[in-house]
Amino acid sequence: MTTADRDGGKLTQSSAGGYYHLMRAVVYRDLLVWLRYPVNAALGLVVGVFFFALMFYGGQMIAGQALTDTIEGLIVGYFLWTLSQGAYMGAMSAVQSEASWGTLERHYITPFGFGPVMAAKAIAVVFRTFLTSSVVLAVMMLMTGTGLDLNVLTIVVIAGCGIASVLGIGLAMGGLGVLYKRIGNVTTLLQFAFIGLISAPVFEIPWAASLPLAQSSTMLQRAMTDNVRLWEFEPVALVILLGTAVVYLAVGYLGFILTTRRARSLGVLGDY
Amino acid sequence: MLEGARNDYWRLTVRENLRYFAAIRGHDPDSLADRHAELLAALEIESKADTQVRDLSRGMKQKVSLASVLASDVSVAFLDEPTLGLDIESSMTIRRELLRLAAEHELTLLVSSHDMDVIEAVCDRVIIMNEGRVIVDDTVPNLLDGFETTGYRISARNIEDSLIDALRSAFDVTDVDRRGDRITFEIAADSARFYRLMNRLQANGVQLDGVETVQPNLDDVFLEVTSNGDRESAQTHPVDRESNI
Repeated sequence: MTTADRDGGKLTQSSAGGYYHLMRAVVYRDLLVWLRYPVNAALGLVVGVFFFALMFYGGQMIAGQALTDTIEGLIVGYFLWTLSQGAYMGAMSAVQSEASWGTLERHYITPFGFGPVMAAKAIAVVFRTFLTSSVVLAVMMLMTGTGLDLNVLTIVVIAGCGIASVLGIGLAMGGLGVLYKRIGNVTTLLQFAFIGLISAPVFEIPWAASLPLAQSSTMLQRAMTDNVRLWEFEPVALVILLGTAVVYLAVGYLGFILTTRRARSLGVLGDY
Repeated sequence: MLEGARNDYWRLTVRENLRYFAAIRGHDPDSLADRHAELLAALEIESKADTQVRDLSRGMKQKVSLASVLASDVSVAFLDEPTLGLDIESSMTIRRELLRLAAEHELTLLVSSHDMDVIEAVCDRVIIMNEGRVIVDDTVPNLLDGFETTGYRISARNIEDSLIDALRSAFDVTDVDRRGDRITFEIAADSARFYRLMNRLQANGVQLDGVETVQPNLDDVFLEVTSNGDRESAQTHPVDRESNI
């Protein structure tokens, strides 16, 4: 399906909408579709809490006080992992699902352009992931009786930058999935790679900070456990945080655009 | 709009789909609520407005696809096989609404279909493509007028084989089918030739059972032009042909 707006792309004044309406519609649709698979939505939350409980109670039995001493780090790391998982899987499956539903094509012809609409969808995925991960975070804090320094602005910016880099990978993998259909082996492996990236020893191996998630994880640990505010970090740390976010997101987005364009030209966008 | 009831969100309701697609086309969905209600009423799915698309029949899904395409203020819409797999009633509704919407909203519709009846009923202009080339670009009336003279299908009794042979030599008689003493045949003829035929049958005491007019339709046009195209290209491109209107 394709359509063209009246008056060579100009919208009629009475019904004209803008980015606000676009964003509202995209976020609302994302939440609705998520809620309309209720078993999947509920299981996502339950499993998120369940695995943490396994680590926490299992760890207490094995390591006792040692785990209790590092529980804050565990919570922060797990929180970032659920965020990155959600953003990565969400972005990837959004692209692949929409391609198979036949709805992806419809986003090519909008006055906003394909890129901005897909960016809006990625933001919607991140927004939903923040909501679900926050629920898991609250349960983790209740379960462990741990209080964290939760400066919302600092957390959102740092975690947001980390997620942006993962989102780029998710988009690129989504695009590859649309082009090559079955890439499950790689996508599953990448999920595990996030654990390594979150726990990457940035202090011992400085170049590790250039990897996705690593810098964000390190800074989030300090922000949530040592009460460091965003503006209190060294400028270099902030530049690395922002730089990795922008570069990985841009490269991933470019990969997504190229792969979906290729899939379109080959006529395999809706194949499976 | 794509064929096969795709290109809508099955987990959203009909109205939610219309609102979403209006928004990504740059509209405030609230301001188009009346238009959406009118569209759903015209396509006879207003009672399903708050039903999830996945719970609808195939015909209704197809209507939702059409409605969501037209949910925003558009001037041109591309429809791929809009009536594919629909029951007769749904297909007639979609044809009727396409005509009405095109007329009332000054909408240009580009319909891609292998169903010539739909093309003939809905379209003003027809483009036939063969092997990636446009081989016909004309109006439906022109194509039908220029294709062939009008023909007649005649059913009669008491016709001897000798009379049929005589008719064959005098007229363009085809598709002769004899069943017992009943015979049917077709003849390509204008009015004058038709009257001459009738006179001849009357003079030979033939009992007429029925006379039908046989009008060429787009199926005939399509087969004619694509088979001509095939004959022309077979010598140089012996590959599968794909034709669309």
